[in-house]
Amino acid sequence: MSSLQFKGVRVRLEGIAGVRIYHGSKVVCIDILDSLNCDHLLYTHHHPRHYPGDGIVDTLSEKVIIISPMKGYRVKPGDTFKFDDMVINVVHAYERGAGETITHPRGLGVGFIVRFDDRVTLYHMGDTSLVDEILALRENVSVLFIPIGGDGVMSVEEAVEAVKSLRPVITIPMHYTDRRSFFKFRDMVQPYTQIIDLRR
Amino acid sequence: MMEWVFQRVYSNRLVTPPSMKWKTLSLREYANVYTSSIRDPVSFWERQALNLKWGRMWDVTFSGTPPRARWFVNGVINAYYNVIGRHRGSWVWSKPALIWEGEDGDVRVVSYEDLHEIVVRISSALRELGVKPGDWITFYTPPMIESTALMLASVRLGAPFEPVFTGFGYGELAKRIKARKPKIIVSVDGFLRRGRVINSYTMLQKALELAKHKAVIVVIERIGLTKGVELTFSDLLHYSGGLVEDYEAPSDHPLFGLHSAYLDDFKPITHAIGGYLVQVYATSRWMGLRPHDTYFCTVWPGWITGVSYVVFGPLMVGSTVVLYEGGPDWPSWDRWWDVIERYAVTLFLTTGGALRILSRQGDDLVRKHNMDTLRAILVTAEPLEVNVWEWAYKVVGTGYTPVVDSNPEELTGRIPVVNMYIQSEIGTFITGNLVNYTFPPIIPGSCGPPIPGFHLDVIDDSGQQVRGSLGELVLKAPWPALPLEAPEDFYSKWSNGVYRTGDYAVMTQDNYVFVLGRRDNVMKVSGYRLSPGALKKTIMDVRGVEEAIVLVCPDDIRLQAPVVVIKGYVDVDSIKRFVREHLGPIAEPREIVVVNAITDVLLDDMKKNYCNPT
Repeated sequence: MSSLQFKGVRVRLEGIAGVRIYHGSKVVCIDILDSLNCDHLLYTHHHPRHYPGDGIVDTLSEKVIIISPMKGYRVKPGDTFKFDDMVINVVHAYERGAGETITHPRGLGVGFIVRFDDRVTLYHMGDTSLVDEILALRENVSVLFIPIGGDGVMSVEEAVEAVKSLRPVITIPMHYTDRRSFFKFRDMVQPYTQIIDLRR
Repeated sequence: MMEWVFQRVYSNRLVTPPSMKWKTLSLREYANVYTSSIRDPVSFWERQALNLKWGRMWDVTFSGTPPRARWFVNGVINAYYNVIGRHRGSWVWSKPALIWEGEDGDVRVVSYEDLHEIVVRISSALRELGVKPGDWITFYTPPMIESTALMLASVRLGAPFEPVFTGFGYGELAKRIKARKPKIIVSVDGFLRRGRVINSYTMLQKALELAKHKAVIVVIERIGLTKGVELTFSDLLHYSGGLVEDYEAPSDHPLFGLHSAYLDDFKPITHAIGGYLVQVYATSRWMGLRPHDTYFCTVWPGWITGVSYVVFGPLMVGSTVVLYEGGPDWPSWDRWWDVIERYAVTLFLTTGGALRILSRQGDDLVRKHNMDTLRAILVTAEPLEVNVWEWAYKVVGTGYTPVVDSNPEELTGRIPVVNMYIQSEIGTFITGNLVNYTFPPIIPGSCGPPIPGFHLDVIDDSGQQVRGSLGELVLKAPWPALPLEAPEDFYSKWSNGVYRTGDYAVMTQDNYVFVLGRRDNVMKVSGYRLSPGALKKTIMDVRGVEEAIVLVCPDDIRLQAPVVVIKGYVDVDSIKRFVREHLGPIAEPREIVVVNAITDVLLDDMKKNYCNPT
């Protein structure tokens, strides 16, 4: 897949919702299954397309910093971490609703806002609906990684509302399998952000 | 030749694209706006000039006798502010200004704020290197964020620049270096084109040797071949020079220049800040650009469309500009459609020649892409055949989401495909249906009606206005972007306040213009205006060539192509190779015939055999 460079960071998509972020000599990986070359491993939740499993994570080098709701630094929404020039804010990510239809209940997963040098802010939303906590965010998001596929994450329509609320400079859709979802999302958000499709 | 072109471009069908159904003017409404604009063009453009910020307002709007006339006399203007600085404090400041995609797929983005930061840093560095207002800077690079930033830094310093198309070889580059005597030359260590590395730096070295000119060379690092390079773009970013203020210049200070093709050679023309920026800002907005647009222009700076509608106009409006490094056919012929799809491009500007080639690659390559974000397809540089227009309108432009009464299944068309006319000497488009201003129905194959403010006409050899038959396209009133400097060939095209463009055209009773090609034998090859004289001179430089005649012949793909007759003892392949390297691949003759003697009878035979339209 292509990579994108913006304000001193380079990002690349991997898998359904994985993102590698290159900044200086460090590599921050979010929901990446192959942890090769990652300095920081951030997992939004434990579902298999996002997390390689305890068996693999337990064998990783101690030098790798793990941040997730279930391993390493065990985080919850509201937590903040600072590593040199990088600040990580943990934010809400969950599905609205109740009962067995919900695959991402409140408390299962999180989203990450990663800020470098107070210059660039990347927001990986995790697997989430458009919940009130997202609408309440007042971040200047430089690059938004947004799930648009429905089926446990935001539908295209919800994702469009999220973009209208967050007004990111660049939006990179992820977590979809049907290309038509991308087209619909792209056509509806075009005036509010710059869409870049990195799944090439 | 004219008949051959006319048969291909003429139609009298009026088309209202579904997306423009509620915005389309009647012919009478258009005529009212246009007629009123040319009744007093000076007042018309004066009103447009008020859309720019002036350091000091002009005393006299227009003075002198064209072509040696001046607009906005004694006005003082900060060109850089009017292109970039104007967006500071608005929402545009944080949005992407440039998206660059390499042929290998890597993407880089800079916001307006980022671009400004880069420009501020490198303009300080250029000042430290001795660049002063009026010094020339020459560019020999593909479209890049770095080269655009350096052009803007030149603008900020009041240093005029000339971008040289990288499709030109070292001989043409040397010619431009000799003409401008630049203090700085900007090149790149190489770039990718159709999967191959184009070594532009080596080409520059050859050009410098030929031009015998010394300049500071700044090399943009693209592919890591900077060994032995003394000064790179990264070095400029790390200069620790003091802050440099934007240069506020007289309205007639030089802004940029190009070399335009004339019969005997390419010759320099220079545009001044004031009038040019007024004209380019107005036409950019009118042709459809808005701050919310993501805009992809396939014409590179190095040609007037690429300067006016990549470097200046879209950035003045605050649009996002997509810069693509490579060819349209790499790794396959759908690369441009892919770019449009992935960046949600809303306005696409390309050449008629490109559409002609793309239309022959199969519809599936287009239809496998969803380009529903497109609002308009703009076309430049050469006559656009009706069948190519139809293809672009239906196959590219229909999309998948119905708009008003468009029907994707029947490929009814949906968005406008607008052919427009431009010339280096004029600086901007002067004809075409304007998506954001005067949009009467489209007549396929035409270049649309004149843009308000430009008094166009078609006249015969006696100077009489003609409608519905062949004449020459002329401007009957001066335009704000009158060249500051131009060759005598340009000035000689004026008489009694009328400028002859050198293009044959037919104008309808409703003022739609069908441009048919050059009447002065200057070539239009794939939309590139090329000098047959320059080609002849290049060939005459080859040892063994005693005489050479360049015939300009119709061509199904390139519209026109050179065919060369040579008297002498030479190898055809070596001639072609020399032309490719010295003048550029775009000028390579379609055929070269070597003979013992060149006679009129032989030339007649050649024209019949090689220049017969198919």
